[in-house]
Amino acid sequence: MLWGFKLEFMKGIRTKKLWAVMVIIIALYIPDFYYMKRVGVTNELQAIAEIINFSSKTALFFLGILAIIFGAGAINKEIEDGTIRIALSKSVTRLGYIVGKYLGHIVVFGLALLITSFVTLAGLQWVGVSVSKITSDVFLLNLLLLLVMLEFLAIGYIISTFIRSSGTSLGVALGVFFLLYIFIPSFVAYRMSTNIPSNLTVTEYNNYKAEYYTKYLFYSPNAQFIVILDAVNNYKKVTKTIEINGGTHKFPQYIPEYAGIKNAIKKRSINVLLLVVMTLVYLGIATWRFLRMDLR
Amino acid sequence: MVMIVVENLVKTYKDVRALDGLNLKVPRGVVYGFLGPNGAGKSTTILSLLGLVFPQKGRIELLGEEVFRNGKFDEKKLVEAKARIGYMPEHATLWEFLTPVQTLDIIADAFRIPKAEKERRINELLDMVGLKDVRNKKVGKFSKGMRQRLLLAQALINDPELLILDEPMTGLDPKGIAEFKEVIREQRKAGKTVFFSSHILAHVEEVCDTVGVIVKGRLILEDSIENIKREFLRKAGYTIIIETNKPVDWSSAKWSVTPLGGNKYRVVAPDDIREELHDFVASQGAKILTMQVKEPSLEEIFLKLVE
Repeated sequence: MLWGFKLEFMKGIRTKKLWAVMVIIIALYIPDFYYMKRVGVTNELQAIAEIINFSSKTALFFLGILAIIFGAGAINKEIEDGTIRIALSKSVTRLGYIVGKYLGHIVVFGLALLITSFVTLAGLQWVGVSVSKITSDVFLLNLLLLLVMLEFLAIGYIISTFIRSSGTSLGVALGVFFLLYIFIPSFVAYRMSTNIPSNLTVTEYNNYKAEYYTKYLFYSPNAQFIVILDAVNNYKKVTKTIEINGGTHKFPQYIPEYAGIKNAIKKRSINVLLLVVMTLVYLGIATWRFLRMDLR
Repeated sequence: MVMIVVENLVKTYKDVRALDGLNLKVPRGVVYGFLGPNGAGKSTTILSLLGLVFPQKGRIELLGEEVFRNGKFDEKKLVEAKARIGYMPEHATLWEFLTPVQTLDIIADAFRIPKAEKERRINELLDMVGLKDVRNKKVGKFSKGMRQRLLLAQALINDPELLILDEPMTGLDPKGIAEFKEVIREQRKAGKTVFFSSHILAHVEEVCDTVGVIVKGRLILEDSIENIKREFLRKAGYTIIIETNKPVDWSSAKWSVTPLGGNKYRVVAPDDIREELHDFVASQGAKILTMQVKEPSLEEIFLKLVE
């Protein structure tokens, strides 16, 4: 197992996979930091809200694509090149090889996100935000992103073991990604909107959405990530009085109070667990296939 | 000990039967040439031996251990056997981002070779395959010949008892081919077994003790090169070219004779008739000036067999 890991890790470092992940994230963060500096964000809660907003949209999209593409070429590209025949003609088991390879990917992605966390904190300090209170949140957020990446990576592994041509598998991977990232969640969101009870508070709405997404989108890593991040805020109900045409009207208003990523993970532990379990399920399918495939 | 035993091996890819009840035995210490036209099943046989493809039926024994029986590999025994095998694939690229030293280092780790021995072996092999001067250059920048040399070096890193080479000399220049043959001869001298597939028959003829010919997934012939030639001559007939000092009347001869111009003749007979030929020519008052028995090359035999 360690041999497959060592090989993949060396590959990750030397083929600049690690640097590609990092550069993409950092390149995406830079405009965000500039935006924060320009509008004068100095409050740490505002800053972390901005980082979460960015992570759940831009970073999630690009890192998800990157992970599924890396996975989709993990096995079949090696079959095409013939390197897998060299590797598995040695004193190595197939199971050890694929698990080691996956672990190698985990470490490479993990390292990239760890370095990115430090760069994020440095960027926030440059913006003028005190990061002492939000340091752990930045790391936890990147840890969640890592879990999402690993699930997409495992989906890519399945594609890579079922489709022999790396060119075709790349196309299929992008198709699957858009299906999981946009089409199916949009359809589920539409179905939810037609069934949702009226007059829900924000918290009730988020809980309803979480329940719905857990039930119908348990296989979609990005949907689970969104559901988890929906719980970073607690909502306080306040009643606002507004005067209209001489009369006073009272309206309920929900004020978000940042509760932290730790709190969100605790609240949505099922969804975090789903990210881990579904990764293992996908990886299990890929491994099952890999143990039976002809490597010619 | 028999190093490779293959019995009734069957492998079908969708609707193509690549191996159709293949039987094969490779004894220890020989250089075995595995011949066959394209698509005959040579590579499938080699990949099956290494557990890289899954045959549907049959039995495989490697270095005395049964590693495959009726559709199932014994993973533990296969891994143990592979620790004593070196394999050089056809059409493989190595990891382009690594240097030769890094490549051999990581492959040595798959065999858990201790550090000191690993370093010694890497230096020895790079010297042997002539890549010492480019030891720290990325493989991605190598020519095809250099890649082939490194592929050979990686196959030898564990000092294997059995060396399996799939079309090893493809892409090598004449110097490289000569060096390659020398390596194979050295392996034989060291008592190692070499199982070697090729379609370049002249190479097989020069370095192999035994050849097996596979056609449509079946071994149709397996013997020493000498025996194969003898048998071929027996079946196809001896061809003798002679030159006499004066014309000979062949009308009473029982062999097929073709005049080649001048006093040169091609005589084809079912047996070795050199003595009878002398007597026949002498009975006509003539003398044989030159006589040449034309031996078939392995290529001719191979083409005949494949037909």
